[in-house]
Amino acid sequence: MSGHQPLIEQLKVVFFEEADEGLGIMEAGLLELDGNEPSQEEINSIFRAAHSIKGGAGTFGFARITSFTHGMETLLDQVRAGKAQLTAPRIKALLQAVDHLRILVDAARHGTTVDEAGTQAVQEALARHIEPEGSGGSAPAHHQEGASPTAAAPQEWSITFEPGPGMMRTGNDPLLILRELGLLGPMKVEADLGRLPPFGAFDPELAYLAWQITLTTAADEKAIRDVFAWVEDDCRLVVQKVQATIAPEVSPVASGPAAAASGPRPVEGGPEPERRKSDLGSIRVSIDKVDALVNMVGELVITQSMLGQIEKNFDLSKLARLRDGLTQLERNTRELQESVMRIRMLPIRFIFSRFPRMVHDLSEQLGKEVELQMLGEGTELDKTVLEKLGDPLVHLVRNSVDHGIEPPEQRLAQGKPALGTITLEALHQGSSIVIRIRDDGGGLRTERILAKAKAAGLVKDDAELTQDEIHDFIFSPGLSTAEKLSDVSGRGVGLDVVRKNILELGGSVNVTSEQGRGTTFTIRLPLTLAILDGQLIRAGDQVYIVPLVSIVESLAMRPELVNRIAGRAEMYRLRGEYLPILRLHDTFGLRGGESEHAGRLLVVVEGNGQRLGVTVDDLLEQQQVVIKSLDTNYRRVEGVSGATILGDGTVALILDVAGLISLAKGKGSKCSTIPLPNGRVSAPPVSAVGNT
Amino acid sequence: MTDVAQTLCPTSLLIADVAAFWGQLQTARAAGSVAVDLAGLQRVDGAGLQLLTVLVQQGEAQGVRLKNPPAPIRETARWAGVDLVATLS
Repeated sequence: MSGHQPLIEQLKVVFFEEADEGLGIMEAGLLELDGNEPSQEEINSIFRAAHSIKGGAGTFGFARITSFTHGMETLLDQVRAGKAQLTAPRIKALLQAVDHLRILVDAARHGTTVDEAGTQAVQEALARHIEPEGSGGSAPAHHQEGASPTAAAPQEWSITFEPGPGMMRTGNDPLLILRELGLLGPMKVEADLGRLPPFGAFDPELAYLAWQITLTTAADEKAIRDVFAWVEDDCRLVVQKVQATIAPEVSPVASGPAAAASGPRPVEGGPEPERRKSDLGSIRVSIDKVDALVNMVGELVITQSMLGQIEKNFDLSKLARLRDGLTQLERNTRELQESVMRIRMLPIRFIFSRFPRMVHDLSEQLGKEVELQMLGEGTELDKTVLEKLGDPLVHLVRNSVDHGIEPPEQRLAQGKPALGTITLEALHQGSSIVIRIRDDGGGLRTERILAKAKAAGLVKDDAELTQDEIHDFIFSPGLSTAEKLSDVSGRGVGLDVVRKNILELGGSVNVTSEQGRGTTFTIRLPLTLAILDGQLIRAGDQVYIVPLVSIVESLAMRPELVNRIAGRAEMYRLRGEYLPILRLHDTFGLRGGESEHAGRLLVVVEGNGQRLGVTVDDLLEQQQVVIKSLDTNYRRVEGVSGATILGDGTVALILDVAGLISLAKGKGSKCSTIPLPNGRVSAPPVSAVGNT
Repeated sequence: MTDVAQTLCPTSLLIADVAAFWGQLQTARAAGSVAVDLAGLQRVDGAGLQLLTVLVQQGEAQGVRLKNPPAPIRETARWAGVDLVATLS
């Protein structure tokens, strides 16, 4: 959120974020209720989310959202009051309303319009589920205990509404509150100008006007007070029946300069600080993270001050203190960097939260019974990675529902429970995040995939491949083994794109599967795209950086273990396996490339499930480097993912391991099979075969 | 007789706008009487309505006069119980 935006625009951004959260809460809550006996707290949680969206929309003048949400709120209110039961059709209608409300919120966010006929249709469909006022409803009798038979009769209420001085500064508009109150019934409004100060003392942002309202409505006192829920701590509110003799309840009064100076406050019953967000244009940062950042800055200032003292009248006797100071500065800088990076980290639940609804709808559409389990939703990763992860995950989950989980009758025939399970799991492993999408469905049909791959010319007829290598073909463009096409998946377009997208994020995706037992897709991604832990290496007179996460091992080369295939590609025999070699000197045209391997080092790297040996002259230190885009500042270079500036000011290129593997495949395309010591025939990496 | 400065009211008088407009009025008022043309005003919120209320209630004495209030604004004022319709028109 820009600090230069007008206040109202900033508040709108907050509203949209909270609306997204509220929609997520409503959707998740309704899905949770599907088929279960709802608890009062669950209903209340959904109601509060709807109410908050309605209130917020009213504040900013999004009248269509306000009126639309009012219908949802009415039905939910009936449910929580026991006047209506939450049946499956009602849940479905509410879910459809949530979908449409999301459209309305997005339209308000982007300033676009929504087809009014469509909005009315959803609204009317929902209205059919609302019990007529005064009806007994269909709730169990115990829910109606204590209900007044005359509760629905219109009644006159006297309402005194005196906004606290600072109410408008927190984005709450008394006019919109009055407008929302007017939705409950006809009212007569009189403004009280008595609190207006003299002209010279007038502050246009403080609230002075107050109102005396007479409202005729069938709604009860709670419904009236709910209209003021957003401001109840920031106003004086008196609600009383006109003919009642009971003492009116007075809400807490907030007045005086202190209230005027107060900032926005959390809304009671508002959504939890989590959100379902597709447009992550801004992020909300926990105060703990901000505090940690402030602490780090404090430490840095102290260290700087200490170094400043040492620098004054410096002599060699202060050398030890200087070293200590520099060590502390390094530590502070690293901690500060980590604190800043943590600000960009968001829990993966922002992506995961869309899947319960998706799996629910898809399984219903496909006539399957599927339970979705989600683990590690709090696992955090960089906002940029998170934004780009959504689509690949959607595809993989859809794939699992469509092709993984079998129909119930088929599962029962196989001795499995009718209810299939898809597990979404996220966890940290070192500087990576691992996401698994696991299903207990039928698994991949290895023979069918191999046959398709052969038919597509992706592999030779006599190639001998491991099961995992065969399964890897499902990521090849245009290869689908689905028996029938559906609008869910199975058109052979997608898994290749999934892999491409993940690779672009510097990650990898692999599949393992067991026929009859299920399939697991494993995605591995860097936690952040901005900084990486790198190994500095030297080739010729150049320094390069290899992402540490990609390095499997490094070893001194023994020239007798190098084999040249067909006069071109070189392979290194490493513990009985043959490893393709890429000479970095040759690849980048460096001096010294013509010399043989004696005295060189081999850095074994892995990317996309494949390994490659990269020959280098020396291994230097390891360090964190800030990634600068080469595409932006120069142009795309094959085998290079970016650049960084080293401590001595020189620029070093960051190697793109997946790109180097592709380069190596291009050179080694003639050697499709390599004899292994045991006489077995090993196939080269799958897509290398495609190059022949 | 002093000149009356003409000031155009912005199209919106919302909480985000009122402070700036109030400041603009103060500056203009320092030089003499001000006539505020409301013809372009399209939107008000509670803060905007309150500002108009003050100007109508106390503005004349301070050298500020409102003119050309649009009908929707008058209607909003009436609806919100600010009984200034006659004065505004």
